[in-house]
Amino acid sequence: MLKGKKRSFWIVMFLAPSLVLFFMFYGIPLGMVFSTSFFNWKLSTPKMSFAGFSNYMQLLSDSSYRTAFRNTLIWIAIQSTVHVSIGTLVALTLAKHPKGWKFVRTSYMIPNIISSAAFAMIFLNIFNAEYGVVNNFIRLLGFEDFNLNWYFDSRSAFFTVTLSWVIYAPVIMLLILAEISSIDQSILEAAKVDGASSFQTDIYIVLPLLRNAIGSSVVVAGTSMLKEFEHIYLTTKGGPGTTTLNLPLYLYNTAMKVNNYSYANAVGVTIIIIGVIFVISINRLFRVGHSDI
Amino acid sequence: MKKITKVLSVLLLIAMIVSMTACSATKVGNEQKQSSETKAENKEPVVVKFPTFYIGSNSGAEWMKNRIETFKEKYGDTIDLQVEEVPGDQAYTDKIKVLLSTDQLPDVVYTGGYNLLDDALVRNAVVDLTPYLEADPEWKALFPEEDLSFNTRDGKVYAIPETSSQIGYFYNKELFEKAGITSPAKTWDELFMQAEALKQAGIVPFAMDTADSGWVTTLWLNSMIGTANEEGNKWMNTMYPVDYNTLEVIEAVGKIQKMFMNYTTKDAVGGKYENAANHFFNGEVAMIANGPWMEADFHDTTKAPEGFASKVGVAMYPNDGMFVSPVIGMFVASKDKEHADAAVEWVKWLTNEESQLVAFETSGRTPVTPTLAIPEDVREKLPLSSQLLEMSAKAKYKYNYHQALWYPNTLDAVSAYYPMLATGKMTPEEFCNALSEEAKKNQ
Amino acid sequence: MVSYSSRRNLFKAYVTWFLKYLFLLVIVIISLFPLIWVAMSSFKTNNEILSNALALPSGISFEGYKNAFKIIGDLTFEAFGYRITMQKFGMFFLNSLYISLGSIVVNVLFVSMSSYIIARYDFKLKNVIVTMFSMSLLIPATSMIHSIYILVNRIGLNDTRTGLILVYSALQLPMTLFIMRSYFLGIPTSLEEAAYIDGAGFLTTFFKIIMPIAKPGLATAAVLQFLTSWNEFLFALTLTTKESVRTLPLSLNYFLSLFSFNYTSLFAAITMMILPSIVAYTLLQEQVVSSLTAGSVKG
Repeated sequence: MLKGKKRSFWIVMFLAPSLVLFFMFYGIPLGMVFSTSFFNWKLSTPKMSFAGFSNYMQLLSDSSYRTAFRNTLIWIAIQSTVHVSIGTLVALTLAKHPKGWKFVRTSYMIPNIISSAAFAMIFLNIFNAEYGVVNNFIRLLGFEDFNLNWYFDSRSAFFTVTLSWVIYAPVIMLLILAEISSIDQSILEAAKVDGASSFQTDIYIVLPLLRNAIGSSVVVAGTSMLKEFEHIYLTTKGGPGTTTLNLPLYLYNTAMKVNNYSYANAVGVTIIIIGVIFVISINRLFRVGHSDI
Repeated sequence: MKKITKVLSVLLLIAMIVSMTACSATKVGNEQKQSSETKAENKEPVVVKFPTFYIGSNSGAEWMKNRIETFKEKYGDTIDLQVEEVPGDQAYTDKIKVLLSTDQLPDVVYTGGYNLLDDALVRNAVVDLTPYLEADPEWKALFPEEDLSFNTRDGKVYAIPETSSQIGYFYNKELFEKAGITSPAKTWDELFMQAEALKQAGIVPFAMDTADSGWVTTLWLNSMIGTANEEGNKWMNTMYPVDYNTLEVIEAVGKIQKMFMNYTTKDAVGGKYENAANHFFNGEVAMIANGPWMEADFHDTTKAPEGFASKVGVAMYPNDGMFVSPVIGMFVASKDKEHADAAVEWVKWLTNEESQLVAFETSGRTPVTPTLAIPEDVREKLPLSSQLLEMSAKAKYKYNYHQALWYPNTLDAVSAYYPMLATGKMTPEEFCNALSEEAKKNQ
Repeated sequence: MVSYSSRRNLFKAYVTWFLKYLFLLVIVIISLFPLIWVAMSSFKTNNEILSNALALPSGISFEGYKNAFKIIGDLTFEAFGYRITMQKFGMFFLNSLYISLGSIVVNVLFVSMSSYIIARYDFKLKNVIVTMFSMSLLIPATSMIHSIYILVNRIGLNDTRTGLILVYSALQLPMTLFIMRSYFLGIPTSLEEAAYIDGAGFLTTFFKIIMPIAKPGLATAAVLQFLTSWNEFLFALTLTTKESVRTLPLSLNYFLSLFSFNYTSLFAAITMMILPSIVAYTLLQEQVVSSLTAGSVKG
């Protein structure tokens, strides 16, 4: 590999564009989020006043925040496990090129091409208590009085919202598929020769080789729960009550409805902290970033 | 992929794109040279920036289009009106807030009633319109005292409205007949008796919803509070209330809970306005609370069956109550006098008599000038809206509605907590408590 | 004669086969159902849509499509000495396309360069940089809106497509980093070493040898960048004012306002937004697959 001055030169040259992009669009906003969380900054106060840790103190006693915090953690857990598993399963199944695999791969992407607004509208209609497809289907099966209001009954709201993002894992599928394609075919052939079934090959050979991609997928899936709020906003708005409230939605409400920007940024800082802890732990767990080869 | 399929797909793709982006082009030759010559002689027109959400399928879109075109015809040489289309009411408010917090407001801001005036005033971003009013008494005379003072702070008028709000409720005359109801209820008790009668006749009494602060539901809530007594009425005219635990509010919430549980459709909880409206158009539901702008939909055959409009009547709420209140108007945020002057011309154009008439004709928007003369043919096209105009004078209790008065996060809380109230998981007191908690966060 | 154990194997094989295809069928159904529902609804009247979710439309009417164009309207502007009138919907479509493609070029190029360095070399501050880049995965867009608005205005890129291209490329930075780093780590260093021995420079090695091998990863990153740019709403709304620069996600709002709803046209617009992207995506996928089989990793 490269050594010495040439090495440093290329390292800098290749890192520079991304670094510039990063600092311009993230560095400054990041700095603002951190610093303004220690001030008092609302739409209604043109001048910011120093507030120390009072925003953070307020978070501790804010019951909506606590509920949002708990819901977010639950969703991170579910997404990192169930969602990633579904995506990986699809990838593993498609990697063997069963009949029509390209069709399945393309179809699975389609829900992601639909914008959130359209998607939420479709789901609201599908789960409508009176004329929605789901309830009509269940009534056909014999439960004639079935009337569950999926999105708005406190028993099912959380589940319905979770469903809308857990089952659609095309991004994970793509990440895993891309990695599978870089696995040396000869290893798989050797396993076949040794008599391993395709199931055994998958579990004992392919999965370990996918360590990096799975680790990245877990990171991507988990952290997406720190950003996801559009679907909730367009359907339940965090309700009934606070059953489906999560941190990003809470932040959005605080910034855009209550117009308390500094408090919102304090929430933002806690989101970032949770995220950093999560990313570091997952990276350690999966030893991401180190090559096996 | 087979070669043929691939070629076909590419052709299909091109065909789709071409059909969507089809355009026509005409050469611009000499005209351009001439106009640039004349431009050099006169001054550059003053730019007035005006974002608006009255576009697309918004009921006020036709009105706004008319105003923009006629204004450009008249003032095109001296004032360059730059309209920015901001699709979506919420998107508009969000964008204005971002602009406000970075002190970059456009020249004219009109939120259609949502109160951004006070936040803008705190930042000294609003131009005092009082001198302009004084200088044009004919224009000033269009606006009743009440509407101007609603938009006045510290003795200065900062905003001018072109509409005021008048809302009653619509009912299906045919369905009323079926249930043996002869006229709209005069008291709340009578209303609930009518609901029972309708239910017995197999008709759903009320169209309700919970999304977007449960507009059609909360209008009933507001009316119950506003017609309860003096205190209730005062409360229903107060801007940004923080205490929702008053007797009148709790009692009204209890009645709403009863309505949710007994007298409405199964998809009311979680339902949006369009779901509620659709039930009314379908003849499934007897009553729906909404403003005069809905009248045009009664004639729309993609929404309501042919001839539906003749079945609809409009009524005041029990206890002779009605939503009659001023609206936060449009304000000017230009940074210097030249732009402010031009902006005020645009404001005048939007609020003059002609504008109000066009607004009423195209979308049933209640004119702010009570003495506005409405020609007979327009009255015939919009009988229900015209009736509302006459009713407002007879209303004993006048009050305003939640979207104009309450904090935005409280409005969201209404949507979030209605489902729990409707299924009995929350008592009226708890509901009011939750609203008060949310409202307090704004302090 | 078939032995007991091989019959059991046969049974297992059938069950596996059946479960496998059942699973794929479920995936296809949940993926395509929303789209089919939307397309079907674009032919129904408002009343039909809101009254019965599954019923077939009473007739095929393209009113919704015609109205979609009408409601959004058209735009007249001057360019190259011509006065051009164009449907705004088409304009939004082209803008979205241009911005998405532009952000793919910027993002994938810049970030794969950095990912390569991060995957191959250790250096001071490496962990700091990687952590920083990863952090951008965590910052909510809502928190960024104010500073980005001010920044974009200062550089004078407000109301431009270029501004949006840069913002979207930045938004996708961490994701592309993960994908490409992961992919580069899977490529054995023997390739580069062979190239250096043959006398190739760093730049040549990277662009002529490594990048072509990384095509699947690049394609994945490109697809994800495309999706982010294609559907982004908040920044598109705040950072642009002229309709000539606006993108597709905003167009849906034309059909939804507080009391006026036009579901037919809304769904017609959504169908028009999705179909070309599906066709384009399908064609793009072809590129990925064909390059996979053309050149491969040599052990």
